[in-house]
Amino acid sequence: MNDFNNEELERATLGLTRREFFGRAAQGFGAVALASLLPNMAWANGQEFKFDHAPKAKRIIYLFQAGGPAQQDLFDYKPMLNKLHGQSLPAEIRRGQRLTAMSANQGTIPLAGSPFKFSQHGESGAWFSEILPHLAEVSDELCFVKSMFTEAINHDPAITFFQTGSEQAGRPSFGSWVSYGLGSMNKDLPTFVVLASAGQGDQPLYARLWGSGFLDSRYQGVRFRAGKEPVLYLTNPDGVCQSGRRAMLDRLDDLNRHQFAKELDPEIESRIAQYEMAYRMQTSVPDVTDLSKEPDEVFELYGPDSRKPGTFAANCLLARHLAQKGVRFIQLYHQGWDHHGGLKAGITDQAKKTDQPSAALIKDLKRLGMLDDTLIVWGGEFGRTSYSQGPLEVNSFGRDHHPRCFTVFMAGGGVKPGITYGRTDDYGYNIADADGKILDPTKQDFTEGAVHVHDLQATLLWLMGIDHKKLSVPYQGRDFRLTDVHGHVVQALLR
Amino acid sequence: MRLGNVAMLAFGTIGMCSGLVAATQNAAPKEKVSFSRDVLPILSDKCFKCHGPDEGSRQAGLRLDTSQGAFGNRGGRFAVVPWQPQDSMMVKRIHSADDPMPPPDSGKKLTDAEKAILTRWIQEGATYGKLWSFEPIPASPKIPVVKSTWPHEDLDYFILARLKKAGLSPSPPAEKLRWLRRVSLDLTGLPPTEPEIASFQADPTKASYDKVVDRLLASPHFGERLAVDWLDAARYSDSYGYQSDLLMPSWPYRDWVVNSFNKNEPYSQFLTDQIAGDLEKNATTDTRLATEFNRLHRQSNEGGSIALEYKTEYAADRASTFGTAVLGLTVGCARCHDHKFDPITQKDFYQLFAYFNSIDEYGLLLSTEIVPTPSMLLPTPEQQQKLSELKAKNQTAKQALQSAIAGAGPRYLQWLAKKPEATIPDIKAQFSFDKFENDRFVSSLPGAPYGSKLDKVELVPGHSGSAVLFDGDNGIALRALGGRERWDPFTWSFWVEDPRPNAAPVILQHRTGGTDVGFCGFDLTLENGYLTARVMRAPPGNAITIHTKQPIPKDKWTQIAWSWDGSGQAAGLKIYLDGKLAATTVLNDKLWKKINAYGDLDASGGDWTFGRRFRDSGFKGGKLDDAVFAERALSDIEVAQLYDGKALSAPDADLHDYYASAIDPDVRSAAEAVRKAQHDLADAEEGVYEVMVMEESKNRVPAYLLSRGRYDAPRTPQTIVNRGTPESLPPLKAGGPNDRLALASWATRADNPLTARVAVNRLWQLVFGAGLVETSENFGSQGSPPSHPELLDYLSRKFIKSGWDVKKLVRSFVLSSTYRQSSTRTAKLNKVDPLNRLLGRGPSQRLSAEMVRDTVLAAADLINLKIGGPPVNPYQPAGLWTENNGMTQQFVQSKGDDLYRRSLYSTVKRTTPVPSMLLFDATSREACTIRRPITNTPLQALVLLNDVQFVEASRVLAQHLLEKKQTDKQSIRETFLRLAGRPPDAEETSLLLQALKEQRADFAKHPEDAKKLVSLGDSKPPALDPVELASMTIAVQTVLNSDSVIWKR
Repeated sequence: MNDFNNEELERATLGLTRREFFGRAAQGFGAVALASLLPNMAWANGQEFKFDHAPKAKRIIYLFQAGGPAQQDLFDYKPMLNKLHGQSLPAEIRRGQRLTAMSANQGTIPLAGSPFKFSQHGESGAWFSEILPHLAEVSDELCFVKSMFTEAINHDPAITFFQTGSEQAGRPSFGSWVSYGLGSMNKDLPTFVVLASAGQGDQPLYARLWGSGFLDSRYQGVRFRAGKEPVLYLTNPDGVCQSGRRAMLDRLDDLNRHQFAKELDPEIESRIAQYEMAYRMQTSVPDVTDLSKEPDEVFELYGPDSRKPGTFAANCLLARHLAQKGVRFIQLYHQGWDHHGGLKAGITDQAKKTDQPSAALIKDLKRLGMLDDTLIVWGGEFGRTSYSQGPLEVNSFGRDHHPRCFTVFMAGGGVKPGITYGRTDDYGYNIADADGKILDPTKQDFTEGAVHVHDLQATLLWLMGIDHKKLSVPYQGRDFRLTDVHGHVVQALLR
Repeated sequence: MRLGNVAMLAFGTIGMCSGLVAATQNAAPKEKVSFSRDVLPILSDKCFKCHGPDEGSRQAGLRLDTSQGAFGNRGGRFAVVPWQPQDSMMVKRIHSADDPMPPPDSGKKLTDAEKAILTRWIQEGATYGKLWSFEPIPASPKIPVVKSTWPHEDLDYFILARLKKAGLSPSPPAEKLRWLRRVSLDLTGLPPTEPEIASFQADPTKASYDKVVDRLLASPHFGERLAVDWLDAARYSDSYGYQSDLLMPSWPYRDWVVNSFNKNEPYSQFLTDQIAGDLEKNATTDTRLATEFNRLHRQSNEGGSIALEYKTEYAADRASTFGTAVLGLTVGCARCHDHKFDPITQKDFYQLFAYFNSIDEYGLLLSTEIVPTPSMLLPTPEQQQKLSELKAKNQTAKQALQSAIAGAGPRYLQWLAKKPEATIPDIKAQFSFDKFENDRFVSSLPGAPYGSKLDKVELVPGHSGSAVLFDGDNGIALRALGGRERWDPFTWSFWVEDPRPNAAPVILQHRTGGTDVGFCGFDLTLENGYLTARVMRAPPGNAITIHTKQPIPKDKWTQIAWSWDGSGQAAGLKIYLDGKLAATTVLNDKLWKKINAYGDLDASGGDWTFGRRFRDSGFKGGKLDDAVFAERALSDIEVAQLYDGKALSAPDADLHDYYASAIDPDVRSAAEAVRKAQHDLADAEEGVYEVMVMEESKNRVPAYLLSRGRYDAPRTPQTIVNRGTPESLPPLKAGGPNDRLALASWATRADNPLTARVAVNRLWQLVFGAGLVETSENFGSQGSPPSHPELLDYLSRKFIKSGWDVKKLVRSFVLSSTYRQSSTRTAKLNKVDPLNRLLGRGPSQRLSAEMVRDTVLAAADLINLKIGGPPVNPYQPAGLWTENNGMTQQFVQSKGDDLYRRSLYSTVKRTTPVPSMLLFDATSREACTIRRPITNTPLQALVLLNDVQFVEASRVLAQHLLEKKQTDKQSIRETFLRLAGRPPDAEETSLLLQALKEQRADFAKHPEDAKKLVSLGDSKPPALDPVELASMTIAVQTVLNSDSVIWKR
């Protein structure tokens, strides 16, 4: 008796013969080959991903404002703070809650009114600080949440929590969950692209914020950079021209096909397809990142910075390009909102960099008919205190981290335009109900009028057609999801 | 969906998904249902979330993880009635159409097969048991009897028996060279060299295989290969990982791991050293170094962080990592509540936590230079010798000082005879705070010192004249008082009125920089009237700390004097109250290196600041008056003189000590010698590498059961927990201290059911690509069941009996017939067992990130095979580290040979991993990882095509080929041998010949392109025809990118 398989016989009965393989390859590769290429392909083996419900948004453009913008100086108008300017934060407002070690030891914690004028705009009558004139123009497109809250009080855990649903490292990021769940809508570009404003300094960004955690690496966000090489390793080495590269890739394909004929491992097919995709990306990425063909009026819309690669303005315009090309999750980061001191000048500068491009993106998408199915999110990892960190001098005062209430806004993609959800107390220190009574929301139970980070995540996923409770992956003995074991879809925000 | 299934789906159209589960998990028709193998996985996955061990989430009071829970009378109804499925509510409910279990909104659903298993289980008596992995490993598991000549190792009988059961047979042996490449990569991470290939091929004997394996096991690269996987588990990194992600001192631990595998240290010892190397009877520098394993978690230096929050996080990470890496259990799941699936309670978690939280750590760190404690110096032999000499010199100098003091008597009498006026020399400055002129407090003594107000300091009536009043945020800085390092003696005397502000306000500190995440230098704080004085570099471990036993009165002017003699010992740190030496408790008495380790002292030598510190609690409402600074540790009577103004002139004053300290030239010069010796010692220590280690606190730090896992949950006598191991596992041996050493010996005992199984499985995964338990990180009920449970038990028992001999175990793997099989797929195998769980073919896998790079560097002879040492920075696109992190160190690319070290030695920067490695699925090392995913992405293609290190390596290999002046065919053959470990076949040769022809034609048209291409990389471009070299470079790169190289088959 022989213990071995009869190889030849079995090859003959194998579904995928050499001839069939090359036949399919000639048609530009079937689903099999593309299967392991990009996230969409993971689901593309003859079956479409089944949405949990009809999606309202096809894509997200997340304008993350890293560092924690001061809501009191942008959107959350608190005239009371100006009246009580300089007085100590009352104990019944602070309610024994923890402060960071940066201001916990201050001798006094004086309330600080905003140095900016506020006014209402649009039919919605939303309040805007004078440093946001462009966003004020799109007031009626915006869906404000003034009652966001989180637990983390330091940047690293807070931004990690916002972007991965956990303060601890090692979990998949928001965009990678969406990639995993929904796949791609294009064949030439990654499905999850990350852009960060260049040269902003301030609180750092980390690879984990767009990493895939325990999902595999094909779901990672792909960072696009300003400059010669928009994606790392994208460009040919010096001295290799496209025709030389093409010739090499053809021989490489031959080698791999030859190997496949021997090994019959579909991974080799996949590998061949990857090289084709890589080759296509060498053209598609420079194409999509090339803003030069945009007419002048578009640059005027986004503001003068939009002509400078790597600025927030240029990235907003690039985000629109990516959205047009079927990139599903576009994550922008803009650092620089961590105003512990020198807030007045600092936030004015930040507003100058972000106000016009953010508004322009909304206007531009609307003009192109894309706002309805593009969800825009604008906000940071936490808010800032209503009291001053350090001495209360108009030019030097600052605000410390404040996780208990802050503002984000959304636009497009299935959210109610021109509304404001939730409010804070008159001190801008706690989330309050409609009458101004202080609420004590927790992440465990949904409190009407308050939106926890997990609630926002659940809501954004819902808008993308995903039930946040169903998008889970077992890892190390339990089912993990973006919203941990919490999160509620905030119905009041939905159109 | 399971992670494994993600990969399966990717190839779903070939129809590979079927069969496996049925083949491995379900009971054969006639066999009795096994609780642990068949029933528990179903209950765990579908029922335990609401009816499992976690009381907090239990629904309807029903628990199904114990027989008591399942069999209990529930108002005349029973969830499970043994032998009576028709009377069991469970059976009714799982079949119910209108009210099914699990409920539809749970997202869980039972298959018909699962319902049948549950029903049969009840029919057969509903026997409960433990999860297989919690059952003891049998004492002497039997090898299955299979008549065959195929097996070579014991393990082959198990594999063959299982294959036969599934109607399969093994694959034929792989070609010799294929096995050689496989085993070389698996055991050393490096491809076989040409001579190794030649000698193996030339040896037709059966023993040739053994020879190769013995050579590889003896190679120092064996340890490097095994280290990579363990370093993933140990979350080894060269950076701290939070916020600024500063570089972290850890590489000596990495080298310890490499050496330990090379020495074939028993695995039990390997674990014991890492868990408790500091507590072992014969602890050495090496065993203590191993304990850095428990300090490799991320650590934060973000301003504003609360130290206790992070300290809690760190200890939890240690407990979780121990659980995962050693026991294969997800104990971390029980941090916030009882485990939902496995018998691990929240209390179990905090009992484990309690082994790891009792060390002298602060919780946050200040800078790369200041190593968080506990820590250990790792001097080189030369440094060690120097340190020993300097310590001896210190001893000598201190003894000389003592002798000088002892011998001062006669000189004192001579001096006394002259009836001198006793004054205090060495006073450098004296501030009455009565005068504030030109923005300065003026010292009443001549010289440079002066004082400044920091913010709006008020002057109020004081102890004499006016005094300074603090508001908690303001302070005063006294400047130009000279350099103050740990070897510089000083005395401060001043008056305060203490209103007892909250917290622990800083009264006085030497401004050496630092922030709220860690201070260094000298400081004096006042809490509830008790004073604490510190001389510190990295408190609490690397500091001298004393604490007064009596409080100062509230709201009453008190004189405080604080002196330091520069001796580097707690005995030299003193506090006086109202002129009298105060009784103090010594909290810490270990100090090494310098204390001015952060920031720079300004030209004046730094400031002393009263009343406040950056982001620290200030002396709110406190008052300060009449401060005196002396550049010497004054004698008691001098301090008394500063208090009452008359002690020195009292008629009965004993002036001997005053004379010795202040006047006697011999004593003064001996004191100066001590100062110099301390200075030299600290300087020498400063250059010595320092690593974090584990070291128990003198007083046990209590651990608490933290509700919902929150660091600020109540810590009360009711929530305190003792150290202990999970109750569902064998108990700790009684007797002896219950410390980490006890934990380590519990984990490595022969009756621990998990440790050996987990280790064997992980080594199996390392060799065969996937573990016998596929979820190698989870041996709990949510993990996958073993494909070959008897084999795992057999190997585990044998491993323990062998003395936990890793090399012996691995040797049996790679010499087995199972491992020697061809990995080529067949239609039948693809259909029945697409993922090769039954091992009907040999292992095949894409090379790991490290292997891809190392293979290419080795093939080009570019690799630098030096073992160990500080990490290096290979090529990576410029600017990544600081691109979005202005707080971190600059990336400085390594030069020369260091560019080509093995990938194991590349700096692991947690927030910015080497991108080419990350793209090939290397982990960021932010958390313990046991299993890397393996992906295929276009970005990997771009790395291999365009990353300079692969282009340069291809060119260097091309250079070797051309320099030999051989034919193209020979060059192609050599390329394949070096990169793929085998010669090319005819078709491959002809394809490469064509590639060469095409590239030559192309480059001949563009010779300038050829020049550019061959100049890439740091190594020098050779004096060869650029067109030839460029063409050959591309040909090499073509091979390099092919499946034959990137995959191990």
